[in-house]
Amino acid sequence: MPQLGQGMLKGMSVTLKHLFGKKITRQYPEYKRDLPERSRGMLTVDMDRCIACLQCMRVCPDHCISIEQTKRDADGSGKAKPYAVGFVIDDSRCMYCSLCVEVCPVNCIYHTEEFEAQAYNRLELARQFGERPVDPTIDPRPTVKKKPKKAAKKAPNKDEAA
Amino acid sequence: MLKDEKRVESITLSGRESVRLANPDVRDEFGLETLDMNMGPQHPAMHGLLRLILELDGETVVRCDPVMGYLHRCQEKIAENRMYPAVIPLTDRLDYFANMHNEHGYVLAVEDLLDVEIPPRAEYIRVLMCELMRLASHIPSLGFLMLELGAFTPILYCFRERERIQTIFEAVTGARMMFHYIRIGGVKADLPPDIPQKIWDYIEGLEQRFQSDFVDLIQGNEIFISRTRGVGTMSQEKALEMGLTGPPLRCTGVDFDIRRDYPYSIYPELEFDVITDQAGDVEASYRVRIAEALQSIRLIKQCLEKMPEGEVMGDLGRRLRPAEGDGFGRVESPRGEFSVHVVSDGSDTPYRVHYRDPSFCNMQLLQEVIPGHYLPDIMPIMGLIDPVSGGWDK
Repeated sequence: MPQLGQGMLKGMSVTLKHLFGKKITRQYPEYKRDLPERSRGMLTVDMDRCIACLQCMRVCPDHCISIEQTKRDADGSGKAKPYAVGFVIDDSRCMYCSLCVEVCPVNCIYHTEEFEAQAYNRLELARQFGERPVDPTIDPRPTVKKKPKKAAKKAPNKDEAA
Repeated sequence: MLKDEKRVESITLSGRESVRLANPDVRDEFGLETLDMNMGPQHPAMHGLLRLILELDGETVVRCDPVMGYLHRCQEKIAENRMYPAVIPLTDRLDYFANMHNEHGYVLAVEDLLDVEIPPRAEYIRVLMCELMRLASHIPSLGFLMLELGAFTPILYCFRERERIQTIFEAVTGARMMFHYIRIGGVKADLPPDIPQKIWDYIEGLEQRFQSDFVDLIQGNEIFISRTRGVGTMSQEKALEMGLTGPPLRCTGVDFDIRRDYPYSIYPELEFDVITDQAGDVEASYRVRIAEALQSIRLIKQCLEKMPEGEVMGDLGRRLRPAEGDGFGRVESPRGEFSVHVVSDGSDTPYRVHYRDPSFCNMQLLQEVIPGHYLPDIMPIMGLIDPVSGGWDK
């Protein structure tokens, strides 16, 4: 029969041991640790490389990327190609899923190591990259409504799922 | 003990406020009324946003009605408007202590729909990550249980371990909690070259620390024993009746684990024990979680040893358009069975996504087990379920 209080003393010896152990707390704002290579921070765009293919805008689940596209002969080849005059990333909506980074054919949109996003106003978090600002409040890609015909056809399946 | 068995039964079984409102003058044999009390939704000890409507007779709880929905985000409906791959980051936000298992469950359901083969290395990486996630969920859950009993130290040690696991996750996936790592057809990227050694070193160290930091600190403590032994006791029949899964079911002695009984991924190739305990109280659930964490360590070691070389992502084409039909995926999350049902209508967005979350399903235990216990025993019983509010509200 163990003595009453023995378990507690054993526990206290564990905490006492930790008291003299190495401290692991870091003072965050003064000390910042190195982020790993794959770390997904705020997005940024290299506008020189962007070919305005709009794939990132279409794949973004939160509709946080808006691009204003025109045709322009930017590289002097004599042929007018799609050109992004306006490019906005709304960080207040972004969830850092990196789907846009994976879809970009020229790797011009990528994650930085920056992760401290704060502002007094939501609109301040929308970062403009193009020559012309784009209104981030307008949804670039409204949710596509499904065809009602198809939905009605599959109605019995809904009961199965529910 | 309960004063008026019949009345208690009628109220707990109906479980509605309306019954009580219809009979406001019910009194016990001493002519004393019971007291209605709200615990939560914002309570310092509560697990997330849960409101319990309690009916108290002195300090004994007569009725307990959980009210959920304070964190409801329409996850299932949002998923219907998104393309199949874009639902994965949403599943991270369900049970935010078991993100990898949520992703795995959804991805298994979509793969069932698509009927695709997964590269073996991807399967090993998935299981490796899921077992690390189980460690990162079971260890803090011990800390939460102790915090609810008034002990502050264990949660610091538990979160120190979780922090180290999160650092591994960050190096592998790029995020600390919202991973978006397990993808349809494989995983996002191969492990960085130095990570297998780092995981191995961490696991070896954890195995040594486990006894001294968690078992010695908690197990023999007299206060812990007196607050948890015999609290929240339920029988095997009751647990099966309520449809519990995970540690709350296994702590009553039912030998059920999805990983072994409905095997998925590469679990049939790995050796592990399904942990059960007979007591069915809070202390038993604590013992089950400790032993399961050790089993996870064993699984991680096997994964690292057996991991084959090769591709980590199958080629599925740019846009997923599964044929009409439905897919089902179930995984053993740290809290119990997490299963996903996906219905496709042939378009690139799911017709319906349904999540069965263990936090939600295990919550029925509250109504059945809490009546008859003292008010301070509610929090240890919550620790037995270890629910996560992102999971029960979806």
